[in-house]
Amino acid sequence: MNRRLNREICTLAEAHIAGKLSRRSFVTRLLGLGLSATAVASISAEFRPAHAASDLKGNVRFLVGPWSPQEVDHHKKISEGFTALHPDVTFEFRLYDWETDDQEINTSATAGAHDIYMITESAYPDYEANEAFVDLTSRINDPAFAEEKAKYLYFDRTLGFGPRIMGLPISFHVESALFVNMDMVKAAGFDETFADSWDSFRNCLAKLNKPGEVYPIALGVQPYGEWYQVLRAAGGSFLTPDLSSANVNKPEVIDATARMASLFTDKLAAPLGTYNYDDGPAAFAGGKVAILSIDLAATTVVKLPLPFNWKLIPNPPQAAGRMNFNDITYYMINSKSSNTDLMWEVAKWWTTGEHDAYWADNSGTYPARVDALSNGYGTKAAPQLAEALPSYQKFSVGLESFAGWASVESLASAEVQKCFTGDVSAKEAIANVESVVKQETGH
Amino acid sequence: MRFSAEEHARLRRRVRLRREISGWLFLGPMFACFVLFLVVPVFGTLWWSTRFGGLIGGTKFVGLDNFTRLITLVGAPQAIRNTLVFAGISVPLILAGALGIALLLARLEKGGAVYRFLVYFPVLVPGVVAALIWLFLTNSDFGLFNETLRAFGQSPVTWLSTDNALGILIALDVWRNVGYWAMFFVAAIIGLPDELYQAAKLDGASAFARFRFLTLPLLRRIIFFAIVVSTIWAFQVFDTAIVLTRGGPAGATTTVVYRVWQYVFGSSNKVGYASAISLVMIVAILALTLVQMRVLRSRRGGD
Amino acid sequence: MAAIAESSVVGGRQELQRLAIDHTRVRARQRRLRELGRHVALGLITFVLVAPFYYVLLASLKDSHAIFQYPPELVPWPPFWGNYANVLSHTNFLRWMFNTLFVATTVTVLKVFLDSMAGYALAKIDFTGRKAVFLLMLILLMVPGGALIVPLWSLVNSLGLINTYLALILPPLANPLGAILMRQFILGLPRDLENAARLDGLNEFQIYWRIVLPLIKPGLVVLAVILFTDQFMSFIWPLIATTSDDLIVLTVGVASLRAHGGVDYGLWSASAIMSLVPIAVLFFILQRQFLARSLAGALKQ
Repeated sequence: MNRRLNREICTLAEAHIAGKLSRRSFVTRLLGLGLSATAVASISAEFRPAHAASDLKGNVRFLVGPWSPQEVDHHKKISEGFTALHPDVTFEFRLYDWETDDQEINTSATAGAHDIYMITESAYPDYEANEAFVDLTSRINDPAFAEEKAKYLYFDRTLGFGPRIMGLPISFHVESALFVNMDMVKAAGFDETFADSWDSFRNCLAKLNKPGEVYPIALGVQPYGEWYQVLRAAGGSFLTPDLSSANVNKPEVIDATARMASLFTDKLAAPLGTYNYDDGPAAFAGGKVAILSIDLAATTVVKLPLPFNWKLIPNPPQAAGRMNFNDITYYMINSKSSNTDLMWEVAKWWTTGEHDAYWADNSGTYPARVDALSNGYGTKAAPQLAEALPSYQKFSVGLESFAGWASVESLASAEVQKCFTGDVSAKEAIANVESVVKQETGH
Repeated sequence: MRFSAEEHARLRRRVRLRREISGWLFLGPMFACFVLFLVVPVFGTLWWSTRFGGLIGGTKFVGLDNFTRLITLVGAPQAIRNTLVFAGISVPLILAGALGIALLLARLEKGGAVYRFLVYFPVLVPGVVAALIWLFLTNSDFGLFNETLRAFGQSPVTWLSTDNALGILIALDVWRNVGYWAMFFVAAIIGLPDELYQAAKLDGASAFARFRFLTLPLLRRIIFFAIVVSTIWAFQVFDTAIVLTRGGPAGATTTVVYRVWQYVFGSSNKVGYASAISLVMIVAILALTLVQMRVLRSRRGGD
Repeated sequence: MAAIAESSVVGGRQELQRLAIDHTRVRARQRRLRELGRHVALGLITFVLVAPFYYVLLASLKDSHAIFQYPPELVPWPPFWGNYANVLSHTNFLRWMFNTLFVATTVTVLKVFLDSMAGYALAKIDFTGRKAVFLLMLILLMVPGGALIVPLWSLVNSLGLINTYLALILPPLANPLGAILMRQFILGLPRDLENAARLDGLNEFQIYWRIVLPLIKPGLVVLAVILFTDQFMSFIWPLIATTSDDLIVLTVGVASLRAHGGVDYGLWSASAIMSLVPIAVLFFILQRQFLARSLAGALKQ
């Protein structure tokens, strides 16, 4: 075949695979190039997408998390490109509430009320084990998808939960980042190294303390994973790596927890309940709190740029080092959806390098793609996010891969919080956490 | 008209048949809804409480397992304690406040309408809006409470801390409910016979004595009724807890119903626990209701 | 001496009169003082109960940033209406309001008839099972709605009604309070009235429609007020029974403002105030019937 013909065939094939050309048109155009019917048949078979997605139509209903105030707008923007290619596809977006996300997702999935769901890693094991969402393993391992698949991050981590891959990863999120008001830290006589050791960290906090005006640090504002990273940094975990027994009750863990509790009992941390997920960021932006422990999405709810210098740093030092808990978010497809092929195309569209970068940039988190930076990530988000990414990846620690990790985490977190108020000692709290682990996992 | 005995009987049967039919026709629609959406779910709770699993993954039968494990569940003692403390403090506060307001209102000569309107208004506020309003009161930086403290030169307090949050929840509940019971008691007090009071006044009884020896005993049954009903309501606190503090911090405002909520649709697959808790709650409330019915009926002869 | 004696008698009577007048005056003053005392006490109590509303109203009239100021302005001038505009433009508030009003009105209208018919049957028609049904209703009266969400949700889901208006309208119809109340009201009607009607050949429905209903109209209004208010305030059930945006009711919508990213205190306060407007207006118009809601409890005895 000469080069020009080859090129024309390739152009047609690309258009066909991208869904811009229906199979019928593809075949017709091939025939129009003067090829014999046999040649056309073999060519069209070679270029047939493994899961053909031509002439898409339908209504796609999203149920996603409230990452930022304009979350729906961001999704609508992404949908515009898809609708341009497939005018017969319409979209609906609904946000759930972080506090009741499990409830809302489960009731919606059972009732078949939405098609594409944003699911956090903590719920992944449950869905890996049941049939609520579509098993995407074959689609993801399809050779036609291989090139794209290589650009996603965290498929390996996902496989730690089980052989089936139930969703496409979208983001890598740091749940308890430390937002630091560097102007205040410098005024207290410290510099960027203030958090490199526990003693220096504490001394700095003591200097930052202005009772009645400024709290040095606010912890427990976003408690999910906040203590868990302390546990892992101290060398513990809920279960031993072979998932056979509890691994919580160790002296290092007790010490680390006691150190965290001392921040409360020594009145360096704002009492639990002073600030919560809603007003924490505003308090930080208003200079009422010098250091705020909260997730990255807080960058979307404060008016940037802030009127002072600030940066993001990893979790404070413990005996064994630093750890930052992070989790992955996925798009999953409801098994009750009528048109899984359409939903697969939509999910892929939402997680292309360009779109994932756009979404993560606007929603205050890190994208789960290697090509995010080259696709414009970092232009909208606060520069502090991109700046901190290397250290968060360096100190990254995720969930343990057993079902029920999430309920263990929330119960354990509640038990640990009781020693922050001095009601129980750190030793008792850890003992309680151990019974939680035993009760919930049967070990 | 003269009918034979047979015709009489037939006529009576026909009349009775018409009565039966019309009775059930009138009752039917409402009763159908009652059975379908109330009675059936009660049995449903019974069924679900013997199963283990989740809404999505399916369930399996475990008999009475859920019940035996209820008390030992992590967080259960705290939820139970929170609910009992909540009921134990809010009910007396509400009723005492309501009684006080009612006594003032009942004897007021004019201007009562304005007070009645304003006192009752918080009753009509949906729980979630009430919680939102109280978020404005308790906010650490600009809340009304801390602003007032600051005006008096005091340092701000964390109102929604682990120690104070339950107290705030109670205060919220009192604020919302005192008006309802105040009107209730006003109606009751107005219904009390005036002659007794005139006689007592002539006898030189002080206002306090009149209250203690006349009003209270006369209102005893009504007060008892109020205690039972408001206790039952107090056990069901949920709307305000979920919006105000989300059950925190550290579970300080997690109540039994909140626990049910957490278990039900969460991915921890514990629908059975939720139903078992619900069943226990239903039984407890039914028992309270029956006791109340028995006590209140004993003086009257049936109803 | 006689003059003195006479004057003392006259004086005595005058004295008595004066004493009586003085006594009345003292009594009148005591009464006024007591009344004043009551007003003061009630004034204080009402102030405490109403202050939260005023504070939120203040916050809603300030720009979100101005809310953080201390000392706070007691009367923000000029008032900032931007928050209210935001509620209308940035949220689905009007839709939420419509949903709540629609559901509440439908439930109220339907249930007023259903309950009065049921109450009539329970009160005036002697059919088998009447006592058993009434007893069942009394017993289950106090079952908390929150305890039944699992099986109720499951039931509504298997009927395929999740996320429909029916899911919001049908379950509240099951509440037996209305039927019980209507029964009590109708029991109070004189027997002769309906006996006479029966002799006149009217059938049951005509008796119900033409005679009973008009007589218990005040009770119907009270029932309507109770039903409407309960629907206006319900939260848990609408929260889980609806999954799409266009069915969100007011309580769920306002709660969701707290949930979704970003804190806009101005928005929160404005929406809180706005959500109270319909019920406040209704309460103002139908004050007596609303207050009778508490009386309904007394009747339950």
